[in-house]
Amino acid sequence: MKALCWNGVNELIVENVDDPTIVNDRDVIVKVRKSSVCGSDLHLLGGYMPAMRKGDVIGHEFMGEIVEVGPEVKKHKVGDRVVVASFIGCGGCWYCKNDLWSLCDNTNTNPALTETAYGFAPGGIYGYSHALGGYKGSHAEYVRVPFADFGAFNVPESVSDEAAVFASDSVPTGWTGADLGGVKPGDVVAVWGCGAVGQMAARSAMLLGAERVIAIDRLPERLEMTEKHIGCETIDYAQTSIQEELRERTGGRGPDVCIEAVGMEAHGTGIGYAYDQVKQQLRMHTDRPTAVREAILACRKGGSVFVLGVFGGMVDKFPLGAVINKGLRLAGSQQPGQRYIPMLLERMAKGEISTDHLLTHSMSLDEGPRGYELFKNKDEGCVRAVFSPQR
Amino acid sequence: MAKTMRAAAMMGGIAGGVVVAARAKSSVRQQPRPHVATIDRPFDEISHINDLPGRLGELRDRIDLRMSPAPGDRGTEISVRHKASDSSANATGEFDRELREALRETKSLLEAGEFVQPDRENTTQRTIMGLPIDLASSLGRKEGRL
Repeated sequence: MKALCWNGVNELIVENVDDPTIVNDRDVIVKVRKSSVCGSDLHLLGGYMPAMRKGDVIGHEFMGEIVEVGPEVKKHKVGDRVVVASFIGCGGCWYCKNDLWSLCDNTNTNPALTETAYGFAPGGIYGYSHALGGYKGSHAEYVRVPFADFGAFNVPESVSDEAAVFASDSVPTGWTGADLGGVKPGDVVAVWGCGAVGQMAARSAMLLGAERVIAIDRLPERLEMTEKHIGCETIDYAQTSIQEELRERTGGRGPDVCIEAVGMEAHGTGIGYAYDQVKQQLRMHTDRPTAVREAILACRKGGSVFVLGVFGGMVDKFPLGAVINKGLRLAGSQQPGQRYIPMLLERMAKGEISTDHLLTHSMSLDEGPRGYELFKNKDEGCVRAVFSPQR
Repeated sequence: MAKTMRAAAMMGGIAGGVVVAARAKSSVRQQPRPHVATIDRPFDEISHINDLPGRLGELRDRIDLRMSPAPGDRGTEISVRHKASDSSANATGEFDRELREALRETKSLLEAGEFVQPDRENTTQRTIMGLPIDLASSLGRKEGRL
């Protein structure tokens, strides 16, 4: 089969590789219909997540059709049209049973790497380095899905393939930020980043009752898209002072909840951003926490800051003093998709959450390297390139 | 510049591999501690199982194994270490690594019903810069903090 493979730092290649097979009894094989790029993939491409090997198949946000089931699969059958949660959960450990699916104890096949780096290992994820299980990714014609009874969800008829693919990761990740960030009716919520995840976090905050939602970015087309399709306020941080603007818009209080949906390669302005860039490029720190710093400083006293963007290692100049002295609640998480996806598919079917507009570039798998180039450089207004491996 | 960047990125991978490898080596020298895990199954359900599933059951004669109820209905705490009298196990760290992997396997079998394996199809290519990741992955379940 064809697959899009990591070939080195900033190098992708379409290769012919062996088809996946059932390995464990609870596996299914999914024929991939749609597979989306994700901002977190850029960290793999850029070499910021170092446990990648030449030939690794990338991609973790996908949907498709089940073509083979293992003997212990109870819920699914051949022919099911499913969307698959990007994190793999076993369904039996304490974390899965408590709806913390991305923290699964049993699905990372290389736990030593992250136990060494983080103290404990998170769960496995498709196509996201050997540190997170080494599973083959979804930018391929077929993909193996372990523990499919827990991680694959039938897609309602009224939800198209193009919309459903985002129920794999972008939508539940956005919901994670708003839900675990503690958004309540009447809140003012600020979201850093107007990519797919940021937009979904903003929409989720609105559905959870936030009275005002303010999304922040620097790209005019993304700001316009967010205003039009999500229906919230926006701020172009390249044109104004974020701290001053947010204070003014919130009557001097600051937002109740600040959601950072940017991650380790954040952009910014001024000397702080230049400092982060130089240190990261020299590998003196792994991640640029520009947006996290802004969120912590902007948040109201006693408010909540939720880190939704992907970080991999250490950051520098972290304003811990502000966290303590402002009494902030600071949390972060990868998405526990299995907890939210059924509810989110229902909301998508009812039209409460719209994702069609996120797909700006529909491409074949052969166009994968170009898709990532467009996505990385934000060329041609690219928000998401989505590949159709069967095309 | 691009080459420098790539080399720098790969250094991160090498560093990760070296850390895991160093831990593997140092585990021989450290005071032997038990390997511990909490299995999300009630103590009353699993404490009486004579033949634990997976390789932990096979190693039963060579290890000291203790179980106790975890606080807050969190399941069963399990602690395993090689027997002090087993001089061959003491001499190398390999048995400890085997034991760590066996404990992970038994935990997964008891909780999830299977021990998930990596994809069988190996699409990756062996490269010099990838060797540290290969090494770390080969010890992926044998090392770590369990």
